[in-house]
Amino acid sequence: MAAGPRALLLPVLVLLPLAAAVYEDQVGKFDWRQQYVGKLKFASLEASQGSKKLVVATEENVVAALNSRSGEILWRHVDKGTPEGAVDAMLIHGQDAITVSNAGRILRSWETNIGGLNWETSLDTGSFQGAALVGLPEAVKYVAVLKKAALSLHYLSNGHQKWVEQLPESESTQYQLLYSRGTGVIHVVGIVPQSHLNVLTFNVEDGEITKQVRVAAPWLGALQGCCAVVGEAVLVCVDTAARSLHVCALDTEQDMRNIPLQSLELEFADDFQARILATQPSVTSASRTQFFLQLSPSHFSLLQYKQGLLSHLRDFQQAALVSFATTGEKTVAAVLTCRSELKPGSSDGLHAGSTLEDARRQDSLTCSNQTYNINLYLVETGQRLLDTTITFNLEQGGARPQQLYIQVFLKKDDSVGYRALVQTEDHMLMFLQQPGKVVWSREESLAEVVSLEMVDLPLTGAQAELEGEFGKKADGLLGMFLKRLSSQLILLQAWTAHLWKMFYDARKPRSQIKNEINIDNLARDEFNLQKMMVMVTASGKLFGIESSSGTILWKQYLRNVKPGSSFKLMVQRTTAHFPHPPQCTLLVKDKETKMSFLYVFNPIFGKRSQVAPPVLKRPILQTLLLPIMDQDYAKVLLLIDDEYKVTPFPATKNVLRQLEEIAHSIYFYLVDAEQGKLSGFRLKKDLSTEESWEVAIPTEVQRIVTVKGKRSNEHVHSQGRVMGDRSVLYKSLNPNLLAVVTESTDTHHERTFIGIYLMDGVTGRIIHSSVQKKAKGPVHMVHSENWVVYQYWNTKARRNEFTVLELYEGTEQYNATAFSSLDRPILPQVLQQSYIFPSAISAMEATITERGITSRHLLIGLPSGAILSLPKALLDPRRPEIPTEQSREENLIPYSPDVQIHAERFINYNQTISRMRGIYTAPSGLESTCLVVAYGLDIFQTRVYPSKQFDVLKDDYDYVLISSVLFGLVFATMITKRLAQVKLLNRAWR
Amino acid sequence: MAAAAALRSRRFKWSLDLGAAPGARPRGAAEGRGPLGFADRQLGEGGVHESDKILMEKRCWDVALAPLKQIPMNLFIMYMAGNTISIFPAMMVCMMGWRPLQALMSLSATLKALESSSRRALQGLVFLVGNGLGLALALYKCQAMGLLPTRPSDWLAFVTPPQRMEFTGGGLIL
Repeated sequence: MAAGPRALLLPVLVLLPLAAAVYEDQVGKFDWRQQYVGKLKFASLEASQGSKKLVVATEENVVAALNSRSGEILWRHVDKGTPEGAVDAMLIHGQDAITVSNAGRILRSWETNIGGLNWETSLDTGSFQGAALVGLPEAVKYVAVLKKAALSLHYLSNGHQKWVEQLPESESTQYQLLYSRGTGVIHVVGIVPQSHLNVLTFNVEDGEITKQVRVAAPWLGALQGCCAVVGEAVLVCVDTAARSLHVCALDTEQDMRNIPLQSLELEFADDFQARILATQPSVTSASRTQFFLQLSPSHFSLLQYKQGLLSHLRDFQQAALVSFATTGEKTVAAVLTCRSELKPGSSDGLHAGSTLEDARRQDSLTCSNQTYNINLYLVETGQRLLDTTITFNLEQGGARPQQLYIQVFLKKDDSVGYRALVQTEDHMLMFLQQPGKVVWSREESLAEVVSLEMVDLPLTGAQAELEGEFGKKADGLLGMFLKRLSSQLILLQAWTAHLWKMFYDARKPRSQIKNEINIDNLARDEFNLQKMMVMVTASGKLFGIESSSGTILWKQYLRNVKPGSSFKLMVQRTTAHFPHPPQCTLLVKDKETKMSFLYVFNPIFGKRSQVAPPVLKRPILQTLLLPIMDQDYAKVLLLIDDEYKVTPFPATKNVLRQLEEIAHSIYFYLVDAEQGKLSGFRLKKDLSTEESWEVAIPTEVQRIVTVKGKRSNEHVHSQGRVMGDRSVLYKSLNPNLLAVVTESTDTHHERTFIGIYLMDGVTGRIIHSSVQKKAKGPVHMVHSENWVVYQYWNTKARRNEFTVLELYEGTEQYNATAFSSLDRPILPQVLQQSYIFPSAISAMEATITERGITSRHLLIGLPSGAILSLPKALLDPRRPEIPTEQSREENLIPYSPDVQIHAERFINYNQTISRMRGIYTAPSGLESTCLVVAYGLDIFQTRVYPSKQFDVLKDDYDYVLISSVLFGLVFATMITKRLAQVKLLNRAWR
Repeated sequence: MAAAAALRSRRFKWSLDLGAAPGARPRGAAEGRGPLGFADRQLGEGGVHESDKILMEKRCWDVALAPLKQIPMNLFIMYMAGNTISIFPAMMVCMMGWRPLQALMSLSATLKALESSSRRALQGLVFLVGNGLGLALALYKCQAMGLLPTRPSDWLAFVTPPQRMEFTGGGLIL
């Protein structure tokens, strides 16, 4: 049955243009990919000079190895993006990296040279508390995993479990600390807060509890940070309130000894929980007896507890980070200090949200000139090692260092050399070498792009000069003439320079030509194919990336952005208004305090704009970018606060006057997913608002998941579709249409459903609503022109399905000149069709072009990392089940329920994008070409040509052949003309 | 002698009297002697028979009816060519349209050719109608092939998008 239509369909599908495929020699020509790992959670640097890699595990659930010479990724394993994939611990033993992930459920061992998986075992349930390598005196053979109620020991060689033991009193005691030092026993320390500690000693061989001690510690609230094991299994805890240390040898003692710290003249900072940092260079031997005591955010002390005596080795004021590192027998302490004084939160002009600033002031210490030093100290004595200073500089207004990892090695002359890996607050990784050379740096915040816009590049200096001539007021005939001459001269100069460069480059092999792009030679190309990508990342760092090469041209860190804030990026002024710089506005809203601020900047150079944004006193609910402009050509941004008052930006008189004029035609809608409420508002002349409609979607039954309007920069060239009988089916192009998707709260596979509502944003009228039973999210949706495509999981048939809705007005247009939502007596006709899709989807977007003539494609990001370019013609509700003469005339493909994935339609061939979260499309200057950026853990940029490159000569166009034929013909004409003349003359003489 | 020659010349379109004396002139001495076969009067005027006239008329009708006679042939070609647009049918339609147009443009020349006929007006009219029909046929063919912009779909590319009267925006609460 199914074979029939499919056989019919096959030749049709073959005829469809396969616009997405690239030729082998085009690989990497128009596209690039950048891979990231995310913010570091654990890192390990090998302690030898020749080592080439560093192994990292990150917040993005990635285990990877980076090349320590270049910063490139040697190998990378991406686990699930959900908490299931989270890496809880990473231990390095020789060439193996042991990771614990999925909340302690999975134990894996990786071969760090090639990234292969040695083995994997699943562990019992129970919340993960800690993991440690366990050494016998001669070798490290086991890894111990501490859960809430059990301790298990596994072989390092194959992951098999040696033994598992239940922990006594596990309901009341929180076991958190695990310690072994190659003596054949494992110490486990548990705490009952404000009461006592439970110290268990296990035998490595059979898991028997050889000793169980209860140590009274009524002052202790938590183990993490406060306690550490130093020397020969001596537990050291700090009591901030009493300003004293408590010490207890785990092997021998039953009680804690109190050592007051006043004698050492150490001052504790107020409101700061003191912390202890110890080091154990090798699991087969004891820890170092030296440890750091952190007394305040910037004050560390190096202490030593040896043979029952506590001594103070050295004090580090103004230290930002400390770390231990060991090579051979030498253990050193690395201390990162600010070169100048650390000051509490400086308020330089960059931080717009003054309210946010105050909240952060107390815990922020900024280094005023952003220059830091790293020094090494010998732990035994606290002496500074000579010639071990690394000085490095972070950008102005930049972030503070957050983590420090040190790789120490012995040089040939037995002196200590080292490299340092520094991670800053804005997730930048820097690898530093003595005496301060940055070997490489990585911008790991780009692994979490949340918002993205593409901005046209400015004109070149010469073009701008010409433009400027028209922009300014006339200053006399002669002046104008001279100006024109000078600008023409500049043009000539630029042209000759260009010619010279072309000539120069022509002699070099093609692979060597590298157009270095920097912020100075940035200029728009002929077809506007090169743009500036402005990326906003979750860490609050903004990037300006040149789209054709992926070079980061500027970056700006917004310090006062808290994690989990929501962002909205808007382009207020493009580069089209020359003397005025382009202007982007970023709205940042804090999830907790609900307060928001605006950051206005120049998207080309990344500089903060001179324009002062309004101070937002109330939480902003939504924004609205109007098409009207002020006298400086900046589009007007309306900000709606929680009292439904509107703040315009810029708020000049001109703008206010224009707003008053058109206020009656401005509407906005707010969707409150928590309360299940959609409401529409109308703007009044005094910039207050009035609710005009409200639609309630009961939250007990379903919740709103997505609301999508149309893209404001979308052009639709054709107002209708030509039918087989050559009549026109007019599209219903309602610019105010919203597509709302809801999901049922009941997730039982028999009762789950999704709802689709098409609503008018002005009137609140529901134009179409449908409920799809036995369907489940996540729903991905694209809303464009007169169609909506969404994808969901069909729980009954257990497959992914696409549904397409198209809206038509019919064969007559109601009003061909103006569209008003308030005057729409006839509801549009809604056509609908569904298809089976063989894969889940991680992102979906439609291509967009300058004038909307080119046919549309859907770009579908698959979980495998590929981007499928699917012609919209395949998702067309007018596809007939039985093809007729007319449908053939219309080029409609006969309906077949399955949409296939053809590998040649992958626009990113083998450049897969891990954990794709979104696809962004932008029109270019060429009608045929659409720019695509896919982002997730990786960033990929390319161009697509949905209707092939109809407006460009092909890459392999044979200019030489064509021009030689042309010249040849011209010559032949000239020669034959001459010959004919001679012949005529001769004949006349005869 | 001369009379005989004249008689002969009246009977035949032309005649050559080889027996005439070398000095003798068939016509007036002032004209001088023409070359062989020379006749100073126009021929044919008086020499046309009644049957020639009928022939003439017939010829004129032929000219006038030629476009009409083409029509069945054109119809056949049209039928054979079909309605798909490809190079040969397109060329045929072009020819079908171009020939009547050409004929109509050189209408005055044709009318001159028909001058001799007594029913010139009628023949001219028939010629005109024939060509007009041919042209109509070509247009019909164009229409059938969908080459004439007669439907709204042909003007769809020029339809401008309607102007937007309201402006709206917003979304999920941030």
